[in-house]
Amino acid sequence: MTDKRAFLILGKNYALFEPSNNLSDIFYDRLNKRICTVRNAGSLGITARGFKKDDVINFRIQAKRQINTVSFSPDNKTAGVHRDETSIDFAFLDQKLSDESHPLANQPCKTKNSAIITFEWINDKQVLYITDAALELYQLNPKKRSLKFMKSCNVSSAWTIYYPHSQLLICASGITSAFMNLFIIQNGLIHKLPRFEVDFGCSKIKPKLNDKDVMIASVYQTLYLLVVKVDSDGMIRQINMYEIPSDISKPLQLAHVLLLHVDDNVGLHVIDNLVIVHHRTDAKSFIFDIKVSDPSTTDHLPVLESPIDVIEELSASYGSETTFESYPWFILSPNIVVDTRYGIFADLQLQLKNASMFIKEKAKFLRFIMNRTKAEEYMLTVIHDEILSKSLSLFKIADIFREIYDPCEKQIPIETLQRNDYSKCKVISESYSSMKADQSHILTYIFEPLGRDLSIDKRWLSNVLLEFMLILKQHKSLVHHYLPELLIMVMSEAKEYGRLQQILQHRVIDDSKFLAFRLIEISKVYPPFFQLAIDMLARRGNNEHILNLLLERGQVVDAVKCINDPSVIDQALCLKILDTAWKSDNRQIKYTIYSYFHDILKLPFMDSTNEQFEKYSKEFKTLFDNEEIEEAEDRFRLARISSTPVSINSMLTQESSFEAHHSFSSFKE
Amino acid sequence: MERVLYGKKTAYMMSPGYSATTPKSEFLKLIDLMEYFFVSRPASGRREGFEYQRVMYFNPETENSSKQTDVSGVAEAFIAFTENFRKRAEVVAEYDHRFVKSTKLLEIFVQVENSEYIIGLGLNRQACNEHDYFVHMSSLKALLIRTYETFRLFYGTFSDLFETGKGILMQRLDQFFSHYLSLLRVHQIPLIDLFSGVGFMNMPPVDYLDVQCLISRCSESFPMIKKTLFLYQDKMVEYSVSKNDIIVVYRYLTQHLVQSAVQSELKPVASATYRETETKKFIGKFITGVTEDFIGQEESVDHQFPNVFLSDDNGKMISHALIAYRALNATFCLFVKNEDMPSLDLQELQQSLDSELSRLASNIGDNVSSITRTITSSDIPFHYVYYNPDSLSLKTSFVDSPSDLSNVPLPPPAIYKQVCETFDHFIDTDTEKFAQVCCKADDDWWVVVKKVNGRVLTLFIPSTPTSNITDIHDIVEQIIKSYFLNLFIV
Repeated sequence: MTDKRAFLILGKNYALFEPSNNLSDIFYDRLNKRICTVRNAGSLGITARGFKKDDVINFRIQAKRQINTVSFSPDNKTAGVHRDETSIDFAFLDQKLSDESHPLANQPCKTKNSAIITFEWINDKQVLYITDAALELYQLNPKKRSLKFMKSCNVSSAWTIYYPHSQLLICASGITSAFMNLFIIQNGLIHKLPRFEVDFGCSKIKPKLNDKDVMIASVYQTLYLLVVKVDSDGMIRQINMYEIPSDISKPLQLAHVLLLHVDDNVGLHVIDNLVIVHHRTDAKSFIFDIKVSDPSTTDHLPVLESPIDVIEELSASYGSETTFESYPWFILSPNIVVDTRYGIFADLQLQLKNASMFIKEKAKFLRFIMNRTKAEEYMLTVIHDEILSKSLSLFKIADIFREIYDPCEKQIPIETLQRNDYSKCKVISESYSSMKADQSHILTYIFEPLGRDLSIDKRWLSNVLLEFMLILKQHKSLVHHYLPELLIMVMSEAKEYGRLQQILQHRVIDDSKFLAFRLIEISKVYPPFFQLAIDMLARRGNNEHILNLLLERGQVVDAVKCINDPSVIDQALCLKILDTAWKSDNRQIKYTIYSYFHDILKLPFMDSTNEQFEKYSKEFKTLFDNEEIEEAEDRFRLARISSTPVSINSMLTQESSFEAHHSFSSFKE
Repeated sequence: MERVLYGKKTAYMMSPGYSATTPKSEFLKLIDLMEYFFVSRPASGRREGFEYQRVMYFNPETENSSKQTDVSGVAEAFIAFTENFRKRAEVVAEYDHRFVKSTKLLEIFVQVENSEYIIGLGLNRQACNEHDYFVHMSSLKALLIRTYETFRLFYGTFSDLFETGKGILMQRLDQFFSHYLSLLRVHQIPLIDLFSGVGFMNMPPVDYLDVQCLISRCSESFPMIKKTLFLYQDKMVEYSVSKNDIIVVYRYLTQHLVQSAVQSELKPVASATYRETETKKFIGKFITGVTEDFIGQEESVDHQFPNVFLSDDNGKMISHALIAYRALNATFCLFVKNEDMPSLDLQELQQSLDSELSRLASNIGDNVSSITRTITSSDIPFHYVYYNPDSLSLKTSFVDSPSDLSNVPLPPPAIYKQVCETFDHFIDTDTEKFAQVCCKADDDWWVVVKKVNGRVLTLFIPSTPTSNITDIHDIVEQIIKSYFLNLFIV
């Protein structure tokens, strides 16, 4: 089975154990996610295996009775063994007696005439007995190898389910087991929450609620009690999700209903905030995402239906059974599957990349991906694809960017747990935060590939880019230089020059030398960009570049005007400017430039001995005759000292000298 | 159909010149200076004895036919004769022109639509002198071209109308110009008529970007929207209308449409009822076409939005319906081809636009007050005309009158001539991009024209006791530093 095409895959993590036989018993330790095999009531060994290779615990105890349950403390130092109706044995695995066996302690339950149903580890040192009449909390003292009674609470339970993350215990009571008694065991206290009744569709077919049809799970940072409801005809048409409010004073309420239509044989998993309903007899799993549709809807249809792939290492065990006609597994919380025939203990995971084969609607698909966790890269790729295929509106894309954009480069995890408050108990759900991406990731996975894509509609891409830039600006984020480069490129390819010009005028794009040169290139097609490019360079103080650009265009006077500091004029530059001035074939310009360098700045290298300037100095002398020069100087003097108006008409009659005069005036400041 | 639109258009016709709020003294009625105005089509008067047929419109309308024929004939002859002197390589501008100055008359002939039509304007020299109006030919040419473009905005090209029927063209010309010429005014300072520009709104980049995004989203949802224009108060924020049309469209919108919208908003009674009936659902409203009351009631009714002709990518004039939606101080104009109008759902448009536009308008409003004018009060009194041909930005203290410059005395009329001549001679040339011209004029006013990086700034500085050219340089530096720094960075 090399072709993995299902949305779910089994066995990304797995462990093998001794298959079930009449000598061994198998238990699942939910708290530590281990599979325990007990051989010959413990005398031949108790083995607990987790997914990691070295996560193996082995010990033996003397066989007394058939063992009901084995479960380990979170620190793995103590194992509780339930094999007696009224007491539990504790094996201290970190201690050894002389015969290499572990010391044991036996703790009977306190309530008279009651039988222990099971027990749960609350933490390393606390253990809770659940008897048919009460809950009893004990404190373990490994040094003394003893347990001390702490608290008890009367409740008669048919069965219980425990959710370790929140130390939440639910005991089912009543004739139909439909009454849920909620307890939170925190800080050495047993908090009793209001009891309530769930609807499982009690009928002749299903007179009692079974613990297999109930699950506590954290979905989008809210705890839910999931209850499978069976109709009187034996069909499952819905799964009720009761919200367990974080405020324990509030009652539980039916928050969501998952709709389906299968006969009674389902198992529940919750993976990455998705509720997965496995229908065993059809070998099909229904995946529900309560946040994929409009937030106001509480009735949900499956987002997709998928079979389960099995990884290659395990598929060998199943041989020809590569596609299942029915699921052969035990389905355990939160995402565990156990196959006792082949001794397989494995987890179930999502194959997110296959989701696109199941969800055809683009917007829904993206929403589904965005709701997941730890798949930023894939999410960005999906967004990229949807922009490329234009399957979302600009409005929608802006919303998506607004949602995923993370203005700070590093995400600060929100502290959901405050353990300081000892007096109160808390319903603690698993934290969920939607996926975020910072600017550089969005560029890498979305805009850079889009920029390289020749097939994309450039106008559309420029609109998308502007939307993203707006979001960056609204967050006052520093815009990465690649974005404006891309914007300018894309908009000029789309021939949206007028629009780009306005965008530049409003300084939407930060100045940079690189962009200025890009604009100068584009100005060959759309001349107004030249002005904008020069502005940009000027704001950045890149006068040297402006000088060269203006010289290239033959604007000698303008070019000389942008020299702020005459000391930068070296011989090469001076020659270049003179050369450009001479090319103008305009004697005023030639005269102005030469005299400015020679007489006003008195550039040291322009002396008569420098041969390179000979050509210019020679011609300079012949540009105007003495009369003309005297006239011009006279006028200039007049303008400086007197306030007698000089009629423009008379000036115009001698315009050549007048122009020269003005050229002077702009330099002799 | 034609007739119906025709009737409506007069209602939307722009009033030429500037708004009524500006002091009248700065403007002169063209009609008081004018000897004649005509539109002719030389090709229609080729047959001997039927030369009068080339005259499509003539003002004064009372002028006898032979005079009309003569005047248009002279224009044609002038153009043909001077054509011989044109260098072969010379590229003919879109609007080719001739200036003719004689002892009595100052005449301008502009050829339009591939030289098929001539628009002629003759001014009476004596009347101009009496009004102290200096005739700057280039400015009048610009005015004439704008007049033509305004006609074209409402009625389309002469050629298209002529093709429909000569009578139709003549009727439209008469309808438009008999009204328009009587209102057309020229500015005392011809330079202001010379520059064809718009006033841009100065706003923070993020708000501008927001406007951009609103427009692209709107155009995406309503693909029949071909062009847009966004105004805040009477200032331009964003446009995608072609640069060829933008000046006249802008003038029409700001001087007529927005102004009358503001006036109706200011009416106390109207605003009260407006609040009661409409703010419940929407903040803004359509200011062209049918009112909201009619929307959805009579679906069969032909849309009643004003028609404007805008050039497409190939320069062809296409008729568009102008839909203007206004919320707070923002006016968003959408241009939709007439044939696409039936597919536009106005209610849906309003629904999708209203809240976003209002949000934007109020954002811009907040920032306008916080930015305030970059022009701060200064002790240097001056007037200015600023024009950037690249961006089409036009600003002048003579019309916009920022409060702190309003008490500066107007320069003496003699200076206007000097400014124009200086401009023609030193600035409006294709040779070296001249940096700066200072000249001292009558009454000791200084005129400084600066051309930097394509932009042209003309300053009028009243005389100060010690003004010589060095002082003026300092003053100009100071003015630019405090008022125009953004505009003159080089």
